[in-house]
Amino acid sequence: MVQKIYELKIKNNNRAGSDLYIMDLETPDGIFSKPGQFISVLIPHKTLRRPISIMENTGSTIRILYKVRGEGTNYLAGLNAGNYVNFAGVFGNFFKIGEKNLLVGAGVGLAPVYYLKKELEKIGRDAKLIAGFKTKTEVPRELSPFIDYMSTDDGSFGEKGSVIDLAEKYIKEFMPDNICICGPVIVMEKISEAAAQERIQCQVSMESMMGCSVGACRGCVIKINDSGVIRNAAVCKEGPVFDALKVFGGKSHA
Amino acid sequence: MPDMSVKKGKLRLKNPIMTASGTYGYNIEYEDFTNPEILGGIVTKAITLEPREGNFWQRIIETECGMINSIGLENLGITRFLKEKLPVLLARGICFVVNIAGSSIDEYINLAQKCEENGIKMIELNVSCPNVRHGCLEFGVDEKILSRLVNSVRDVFSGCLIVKLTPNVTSIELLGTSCQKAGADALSAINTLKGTGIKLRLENGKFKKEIVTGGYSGQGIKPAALNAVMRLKKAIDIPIIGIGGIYSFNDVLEFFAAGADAVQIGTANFTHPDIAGKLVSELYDFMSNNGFKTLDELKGALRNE
Repeated sequence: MVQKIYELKIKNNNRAGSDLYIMDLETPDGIFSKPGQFISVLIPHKTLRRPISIMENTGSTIRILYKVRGEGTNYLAGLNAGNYVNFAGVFGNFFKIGEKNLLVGAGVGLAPVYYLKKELEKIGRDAKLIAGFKTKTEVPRELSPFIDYMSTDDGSFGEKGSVIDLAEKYIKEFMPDNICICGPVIVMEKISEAAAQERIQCQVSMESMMGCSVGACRGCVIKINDSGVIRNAAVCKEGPVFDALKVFGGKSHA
Repeated sequence: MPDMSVKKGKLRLKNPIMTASGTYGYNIEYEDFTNPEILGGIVTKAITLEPREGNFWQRIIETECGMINSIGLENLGITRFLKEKLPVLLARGICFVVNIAGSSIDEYINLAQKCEENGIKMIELNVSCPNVRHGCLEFGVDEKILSRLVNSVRDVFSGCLIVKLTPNVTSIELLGTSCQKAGADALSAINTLKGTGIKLRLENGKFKKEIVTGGYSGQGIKPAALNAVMRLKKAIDIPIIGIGGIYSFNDVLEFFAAGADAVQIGTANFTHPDIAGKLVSELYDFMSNNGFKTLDELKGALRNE
């Protein structure tokens, strides 16, 4: 699919839970994407585009989930239905799928695995979605019906405790042949260790500050262990989805 | 039909809109957004003798009106460049300049020789990367050393020899003058300004800090770049390629007015990946609509008092 710059009209832009927002963008001509891929949003008067994972693509709407963290996401949160957003994309690789898929999202990291769950359901593959949040108010309520197991750190919603423990429990119970995770590095690292112990294929979606989004500037690279060779990989082009062993197997992810 | 080509001595470009080293990859990375064949010239990412890993995380940070980078010359090395990237540039008829960086004069000579042997027509000496510990910038701040370097490369390279100057000096015209005397065919100015970006966030009672020290680029450096180009224009006769914060067609005209013969688009490629191609079309339309038949006519009009 050819990458392009789009000016898309906002259909909805609503707070989904404390600092998480969901934005729906109209794509009348349809834009092809796969779970794991991202778009780069232009913020007026800022130099760097913001890479944001696609949370759903219905054919006529692209949905993104974002967390308000700084100037860029603050700007996005202030936009209304009818406003336009400039985005470039679609960029990056996508998740490989298995027969029995365990999907784990922590916080805003829910976006790409939620998308994957929806796509897997369409083709009738077995998929369980686990999500972890800090507390009840952070949980994006409109997404919770699609989440199979949920935890909050303080137990105010779903099970009490870390999403890491919840994932470890369901790895044993569900015995998937494929695990996909997106969230903070520590969450991805711990769960991928559990996956490695059970010898289950595990993929992680990495985040990085990006310059060009097309693999040209080498600003977003991480170190990966590629069959024993430690080398740089551009998150924007070779990723954002990586085989967890390549990222954490070498114990040097950054 | 206006003639946009640049023909100044050995500097031969399809048009004056080029893309700057380090921002545009090696060849066709941006082709979904801009057809590289229509650009005046792509300057490759800096290439060294051996492959380089570059610096550790974190490599980039956004600042007011720009960004800081500390990539540290990560690149695949001249051997792989010649084997994997050069054939694509040649097959596609892309106008290009190979940017080379070394840790010693011998390394620059070796790189330039390899370019000569492989029929490369234009090289740009990177003597201004602020992000590596040895070499590079050391050659760009002392006019005697720079002069020796340019002389040595001149001996082995017959094509267009461009020297990319750093703004991190007291008097850029002294360095420009030594390059001209030593046989450079053109100068490009400026490389990034030395800078530091700091981002602070208070999370659970603790400050999370991001600090990146490296090269400052983007819209904020345009006044410094225009100043460097004007000063160089007064001091030298060889062509000047202006670089620094170009984000619009009007910026391009400002650089022409300051004395540039061509320009390179850098950080703006990150913000607007289609900008380089758009600027080529805008220049074409502007010249057509206003009756400028050649670039010299346009530049003449801009520089008339």
